[in-house]
Order: sequence, then C-alpha cells, then structure tokens
Amino acid sequence: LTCQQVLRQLSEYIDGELDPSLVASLSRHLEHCEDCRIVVHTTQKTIEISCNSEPVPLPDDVRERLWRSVQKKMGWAE
Amino acid sequence: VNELKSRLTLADLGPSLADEAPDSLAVSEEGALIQALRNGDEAAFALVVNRFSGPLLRVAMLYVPSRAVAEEVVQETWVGLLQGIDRFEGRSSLKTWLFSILTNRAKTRGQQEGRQIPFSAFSAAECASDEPALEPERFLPADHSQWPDHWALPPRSWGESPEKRLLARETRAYLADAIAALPPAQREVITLRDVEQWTSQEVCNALGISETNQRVLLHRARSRVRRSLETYFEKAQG
Repeated sequence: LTCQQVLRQLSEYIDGELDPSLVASLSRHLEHCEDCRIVVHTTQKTIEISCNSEPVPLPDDVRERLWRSVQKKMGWAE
Repeated sequence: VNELKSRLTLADLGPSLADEAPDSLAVSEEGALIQALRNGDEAAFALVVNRFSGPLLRVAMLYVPSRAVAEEVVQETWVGLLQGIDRFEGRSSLKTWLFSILTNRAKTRGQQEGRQIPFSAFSAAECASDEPALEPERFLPADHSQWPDHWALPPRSWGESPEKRLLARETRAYLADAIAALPPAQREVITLRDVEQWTSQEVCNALGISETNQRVLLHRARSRVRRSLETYFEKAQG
C-alpha cells in the first residue's frame, strides 16, 4: 500500500470497520511509516476531542417555545 | 399522559435537569425509560426532551428551509412521541423511532415549504466530488523513481501537546468552528457520529443515506477537521 492508499482507508481502520485482509496490509505499512502513524494518531486525537465536545444546549427561548407548543397541541392547560 | 400533562411544567425542562435526571430517575435502561413515558412520568419526558431536542433540531434543519419551521417539526415530533408511545413495540431503539418520526414529518414539511433537494441528494453530490484526504501537493508523484505516492510534506506530530491542552476549552472551540465550516453533509455526519456518538446505522437511518456515503462523508469530515487542528497546533507551537 502507498501512503495515499492508507489514508483513504484511515477512518474505517480506526473505527474497526475495515476488511481484515486490508487491516493486515495497513498495519504492515504503519509499522514502517512514521508519517502515516502520525496521521492515524492525530486522527484518533481529533475523534477524542470531538467526543469531548460541549453538548449543544437548546436555547432557553427555543425550549420555551417548544414546550408551549407541545402544551397547546396536546390540549394541556398551562 | 394525562398525569404527565397535569404535572409537568416548563421548569422541569430546565438545563439543570439534563445533568440530574439520569441518576434521579433510574431509567438508564431504555425499557424502563419507555415504561416511564407510558406511565406519564413527567421527569422521563423532560429527560428525553432535554437529551434529544438539540440533535432533533439539527436534523430537522436538513430538510426544511428555516430554523422556525425546524422548531415546529421538533414540536410535532414530541407530540408524535406522546401520542404513539403506547403503540411503540420496541423493534427499534427509542432514538431510532424518535428520529423516524422526525424525518417523516420533516420531509413532508420540506416538500410543503418548497425545499426541492433532500439531504440524501446533496450528500450524494458531496460524495460524488473527488476530494482527497490531504492536499495532493503533500505527496510525491505516482511516477517518482524512489517513493511513488509517498509523503513530500509529512505531517507533524502533536506529541508535544500535552493531553490537557488537547482537551482544553480553546481547542474544543476551535474544533467546533472547524466542524461548522464543513460542507453540510460532512458536518451532519461527523456531528452525529463523533460528537453525538451515534452508530453508523443510526446515522444512515436518520439521514436517509447509504452506508457507503456515510463512510465517505465521515472520512472526509475527519480529514478536514484533523487538518484544521494540525494548523492550530502548529501555530500554537510557533
């Protein structure tokens, strides 16, 4: 595998969704290619930072509108 | 639901509930959560509203032309949940069911509001474009005598960046900006997969895209965001 071919499979490799035969080829490439190892490592870090993202809060005004609408549509008294 | 409607107040949907509800409700198991909803447990409803309204709104906006209409679709989705929970048979997860209610309503509203291009169409257009994971100039040409297709401008390690810095608020804010700047389909897929941590199947179901297109979009999105962070850390290291 060339470096570019490795990079094309990177996301699936990290997610464990790659065909086992390709995993073996990719792992062999990574053993001797430090540059591609850096991309693997930094992509994993990117995913890790994404997983630690602040949850996007629902703005208060949206929450209030949503709730009032649900009440109205369900015929609930306020 | 009758009990729920008489007891649930707007205050129950306050931001603090999102942190407190799971332990206090003891509904970490989905079956228990569904049963609680059927029993008209107001805290259970507040929990799911808090947990899913943000992602629901984000997905709704893929189908309709304005945020206001997207909010209406989310409202209709919650009404749909309350009206349909007794008939929900649990063949899919609650989340999958909830998003199927949302996407059905959002598609209908999108057609009514004149949005001609569904998400699946512009995601297909993004997938069809020939976007490399990295700039071609970072690689040696395919006919290079010694190292064809290998690195010409290799990546830099972030190894010097301590773990604390990687997860610092500033870094996460930079990542959020990088995600916001992505093409729409890439942005949605990476948000649902990596930020919201959905499975690929859940993403495909919610967005109505194929597994192949989902993989392509996720890969491209991660590549772009990784490159943005690479630039960020290079600047930070001087």
